[in-house]
Amino acid sequence: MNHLNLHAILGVGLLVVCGALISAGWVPHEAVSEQIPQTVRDNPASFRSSYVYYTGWRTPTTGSGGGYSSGK
Amino acid sequence: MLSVERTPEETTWSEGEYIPAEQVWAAFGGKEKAKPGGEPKGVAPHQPNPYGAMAFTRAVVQGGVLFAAALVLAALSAMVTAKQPLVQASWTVDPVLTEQVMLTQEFTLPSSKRRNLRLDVNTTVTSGEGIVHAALLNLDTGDAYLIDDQGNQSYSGTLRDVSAGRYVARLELARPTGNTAITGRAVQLSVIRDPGSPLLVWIPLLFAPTSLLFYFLGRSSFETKRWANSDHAPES
Repeated sequence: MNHLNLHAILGVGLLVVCGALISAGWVPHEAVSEQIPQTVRDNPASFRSSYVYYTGWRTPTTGSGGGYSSGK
Repeated sequence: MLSVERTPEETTWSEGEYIPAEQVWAAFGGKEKAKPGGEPKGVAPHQPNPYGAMAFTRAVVQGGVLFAAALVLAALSAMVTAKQPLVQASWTVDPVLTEQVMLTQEFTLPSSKRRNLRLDVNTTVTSGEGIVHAALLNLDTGDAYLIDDQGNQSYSGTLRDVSAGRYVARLELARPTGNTAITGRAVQLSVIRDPGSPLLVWIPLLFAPTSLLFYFLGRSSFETKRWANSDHAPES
């Protein structure tokens, strides 16, 4: 019954790996980061990202090639 | 198995029962020199499928045990994660501004062991009206974290092991120029410390019941091998 043995090994392996990651407090990192100067720290509203995808209007029905039309 | 062999002179009917090699060996005295070794090659036409009722019961029990263990893991996950709200805020969208910046009050992420954060952005602004970008700014270290909206209007993003210190969350509603005025739209944001990852709970929970799938695959694979060894294999 190799198939059921394989399922048991995978199932126990997943429990061990996921349990270890949970106990370590792991979460996926879903962000990019950059450094901001002191002037922006003093006035956070003035923050402007250097990443083009972040700034400006993005059209909801874009084709290939982006769809970013305006930066700041 | 019942078989028949015919010649012009006679017809022979035979009845056969599958017996494992070890049983045959034992019936003939079990001499060490004649002991069968290795796995049987191929599948006999009347060889019982090992994925029978016992294997089905095992699949059900195995899936149930793993599912119960995954539930225990989910409970442990809920116990060990802090899920501490650091800041919650909401804003009303300006009807005409093409770019509206919203800042939360300053909040502090302590230098504890678990410095993971989750940002939840919810808005009633539709995709045709604008999009909300979110960033987290560390006022002490100067680190700025830009959250990936994954193309959604309302979204969540997690940050792993960020620097401790004073933070401000900054939202920016970007709208197309020349768009008509919108009213009654709102934006909400919450920042949670040590949120845990639902993915790590759901993967074992969803995998456990696949024991039945593995059972049926094993059963089907055995029958496929049997027919592959047959003189009358069905044409695919």
